[in-house]
Amino acid sequence: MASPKVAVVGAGVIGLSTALSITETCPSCSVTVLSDQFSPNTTGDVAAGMLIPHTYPDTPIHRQKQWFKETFTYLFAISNSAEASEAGIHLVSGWQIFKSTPKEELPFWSDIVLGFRPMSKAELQKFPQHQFGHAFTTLKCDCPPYLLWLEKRLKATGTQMYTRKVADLWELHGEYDIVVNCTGMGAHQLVGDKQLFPVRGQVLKVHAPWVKQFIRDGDGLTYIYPGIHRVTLGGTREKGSWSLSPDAGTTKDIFDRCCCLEPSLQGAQDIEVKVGLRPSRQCVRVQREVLSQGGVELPVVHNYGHGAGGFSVHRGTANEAAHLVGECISALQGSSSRAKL
Amino acid sequence: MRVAIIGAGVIGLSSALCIHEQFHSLLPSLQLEVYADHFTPHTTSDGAAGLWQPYLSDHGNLQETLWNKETFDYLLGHLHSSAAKEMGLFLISGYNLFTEPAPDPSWKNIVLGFRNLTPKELQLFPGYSYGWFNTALMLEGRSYLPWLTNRLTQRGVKFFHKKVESFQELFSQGVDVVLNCSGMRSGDLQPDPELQPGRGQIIKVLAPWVKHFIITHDLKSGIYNSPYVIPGSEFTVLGGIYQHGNWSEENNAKDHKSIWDSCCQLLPALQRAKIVGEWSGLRPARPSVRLERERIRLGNLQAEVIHNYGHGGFGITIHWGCAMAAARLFGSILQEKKQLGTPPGPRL
Repeated sequence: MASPKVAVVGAGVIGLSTALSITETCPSCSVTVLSDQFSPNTTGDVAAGMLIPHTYPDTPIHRQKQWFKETFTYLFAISNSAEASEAGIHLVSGWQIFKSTPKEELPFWSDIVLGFRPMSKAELQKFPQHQFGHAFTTLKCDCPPYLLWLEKRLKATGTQMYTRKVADLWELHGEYDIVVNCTGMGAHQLVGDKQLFPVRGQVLKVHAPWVKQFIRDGDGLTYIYPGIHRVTLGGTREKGSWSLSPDAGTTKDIFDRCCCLEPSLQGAQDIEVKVGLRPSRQCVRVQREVLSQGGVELPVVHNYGHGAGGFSVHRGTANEAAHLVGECISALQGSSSRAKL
Repeated sequence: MRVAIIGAGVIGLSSALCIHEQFHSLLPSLQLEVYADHFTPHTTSDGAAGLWQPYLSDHGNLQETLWNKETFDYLLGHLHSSAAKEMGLFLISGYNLFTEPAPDPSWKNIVLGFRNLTPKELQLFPGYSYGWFNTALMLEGRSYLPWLTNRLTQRGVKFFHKKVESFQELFSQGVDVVLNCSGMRSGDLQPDPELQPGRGQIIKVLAPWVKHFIITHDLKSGIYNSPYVIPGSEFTVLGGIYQHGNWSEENNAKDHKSIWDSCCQLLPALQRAKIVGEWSGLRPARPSVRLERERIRLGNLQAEVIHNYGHGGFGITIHWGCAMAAARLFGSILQEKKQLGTPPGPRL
């Protein structure tokens, strides 16, 4: 197989980073990205893009740690380069605070982020309702510039990108040799994965350029994440809700909760409300599958179900998916050489 | 009781506010007047980035360390108030970088979360092998000075746009106490060979992705002669110039290049940053802050002057501690005047 034709379905952070990984590990591949949405209309565009991992209950911890480490290392190098501002990657320091001391003293990622340590008594004084906290420095990945940067790098490798709604993976058979499914929430419909469920998140993006530090409540519901131009205030975790419409009551609630942690936010301007559906699953599906219909086969690599942790593990899962694409190619080459006998 | 404050930078305005807060209810006749030839946004305090950070060493000057601490604690206490944004006050974390191990600074227990940098963090800064991380405060002069001015105006303090030529000029008008907060130009009022300019130059850029301050140190070339990057609320300040004895307030092309090249080497992404301004100012440098009373004999008058100048590159850092010390000195003047007894007159 001289130039395997790979279709990546989905142009969010997972689709684009997976496509890029594939061009890196398989330079002879011809990669095409197909998606009905591109930035700024992907789920990731709503997210703050903070590198603070979400723990997937059914994925082994060592695998999650490996994904996070690869992602952190990759973005760390970009943040340190001249391209940092174009790619939208920057370091940010802050605090994760808990109302009661968590059972787990150290999260699995504490040695990957920078300078992780417990908060001092003096620092905790800022949060009278919280007993305990962690201070650390991590990376933030501002989605709109990051996706544009990924698109630019993909175009430089000759990758084509098309706006196209794929209703059925079999549509792509014949046109492409391998299909990579990075459709996030769309996989619920596209491949009928009933284990995939939305966790609705509403956020506010505000203008508050004096906020330089992140603050996150350990319950994951209230957070303040300063980005390049806007601060993301969150949030909600509404399991099973498919609504993409902003809710006014929720907006007020988020604003109040954040102002409680950072009173200066009362002076925030230009409040924009956004909603995204975290494509959630007990474990991220990074897996090969060979679809079969009427004696015909279609190799598929799935890479979806990242829920609340997409940015934190995107590069790691992209690399793993690219590796699986490599396996698909070997399998195809193996079977095509057998066919010649 | 007329009190004239000379100077409307951070020192003059904060001293005025501190005195008014402490004494206006005890002394209904207290009348404060601020005299200055430059007001915000044209003072030295307006040009400074506004980072709370003392010099590396206090040279055993524990008094100054105490004033720094009082200022930090005072500001920290205001962080959650509704005034914080208007004051230009916010938390910020960042890095101090060295090419060799350095002793811990006098302020390590004043700031929040002070610690050494980890090896992974040092990877961010090739050429630097040692450093600190801590959380401190920003107090932007461009916001703080107008805020102080508003507080003072609300309290009935009067402002006069004029260059005071001598202490005598004010005393002959009936002023009882003069607070000399004239910073760099104190020498015009009373010669002080110890007061020298520490010229600085800064480039203002738009680099909103920078969320940390980064101060590098070259222990051989002295404080602030090594690149620094300080992100503010509207723009990021690039600097690294300290020229002792240079009185020029003109931007210098060679200094510009030095700042730009060294900061871009520190943070390569700055190459894409848009330059939005440039400024030069004179840090009023002195071996120690002059904060003391002086009685000046003018004819048969005993005129009281409180000096509060010579804060170098740490005026914002130390201002409130000094304002409180100046207020204490003022208090002692009031005490003495009372102790002089009732004014002489016939006893019936």
